[in-house]
Amino acid sequence: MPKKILVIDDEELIVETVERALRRAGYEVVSARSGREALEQVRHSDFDLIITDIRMPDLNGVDTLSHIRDVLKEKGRPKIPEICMTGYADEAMMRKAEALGAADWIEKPFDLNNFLDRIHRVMTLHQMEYFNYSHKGFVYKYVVMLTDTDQFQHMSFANYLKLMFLAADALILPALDHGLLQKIRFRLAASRMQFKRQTAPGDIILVKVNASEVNDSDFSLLFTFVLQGSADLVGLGRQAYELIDLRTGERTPLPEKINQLLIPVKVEEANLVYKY
Amino acid sequence: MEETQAPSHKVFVYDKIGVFFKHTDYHGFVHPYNYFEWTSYVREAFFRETVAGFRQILDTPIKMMTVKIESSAFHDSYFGDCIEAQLTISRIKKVSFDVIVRFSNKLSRQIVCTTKHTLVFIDSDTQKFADIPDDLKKAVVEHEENEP
Repeated sequence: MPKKILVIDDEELIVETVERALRRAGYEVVSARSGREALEQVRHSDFDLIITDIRMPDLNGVDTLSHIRDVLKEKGRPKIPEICMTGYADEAMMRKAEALGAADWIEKPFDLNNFLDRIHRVMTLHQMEYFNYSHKGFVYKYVVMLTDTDQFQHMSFANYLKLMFLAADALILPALDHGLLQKIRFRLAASRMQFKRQTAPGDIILVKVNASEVNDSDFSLLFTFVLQGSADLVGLGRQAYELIDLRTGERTPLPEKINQLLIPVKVEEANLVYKY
Repeated sequence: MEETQAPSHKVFVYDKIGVFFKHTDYHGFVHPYNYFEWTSYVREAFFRETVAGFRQILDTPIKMMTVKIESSAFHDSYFGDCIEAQLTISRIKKVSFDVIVRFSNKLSRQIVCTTKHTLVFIDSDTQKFADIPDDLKKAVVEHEENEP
């Protein structure tokens, strides 16, 4: 799916030029002629980036962004990266944009190629930041090999599922010694995965593993697959495990060693953007 | 492979799954990953045997993509077990349908695992959704189960 950008500017010519350039670059574009129109758009749609002029009548760009952030917070939606445009060196407004934490700003007139490069950079950094810092997790890295792919030159779905198991094992194995492995077993009760994009040989997939619902004798793991570099989302997965005592075949409490691995990577699912 | 006739839909049966050492985990149980791999075998056997001109469909720009998959495990399987897979279809839409595979132990007849995945059809030339090819649709409709 193409990334969706909201362009806010009261000048028709600027909006048309920017829209045309962004559409040619493969983005989906929605425009707003004022801060208030932009707020309405944000209330009803999701965007991957906001580009706003700073100097606008009625509601200026910085205040527009501030209100947009309030709307997003109110709706429990994550922050959207922002780029500010200004027609001339406006120090005061630039400082306000900087204080607000806008991702980047650019002076008009600007070179379109440079503009597109900066857009790409801002969106990639935002995705990486989300993946790395929005919630801690255990990251497992995997290089897609030729043997993982089929005649359609993409990694088969079975191999993505295998990757989930590899990542889960890598998280839990440090806590498992031979003695513990003789006593307990991690039984997979349920598993699911959504696929968002395909991968090809040579791609590097980063799998972030988090825990949710850690109970006495069962827990769930959440998996976020992204492409290293672009941080494009490849897929989302979930597995539900129960601990079984091998002697009795009954459920058994989680050993403390396992808890110590899971608690640091535990997340509250209600706070997550993606639905696993 | 067998085709069995249920009251309202066909069921595709694949019974070539035998559990070997490589399918087992540290504790001797069939590793759950194998059910996903076997799902792909069952699905491909289904298309190969029930869809006229399936190979020709593969040569067209219309591609099948798995967009989600889920599994539920009920009982364990072990080395030497023979597993039977029964495939049915559900939720047939314009560009997608679900494939349900139920794996059961041939001896005990217990269902050991069920997988369900959604296939979507994409035109690889235009990158847009594409209608399910006619010959394929005919086969899936015959195997569509009514959801409870």
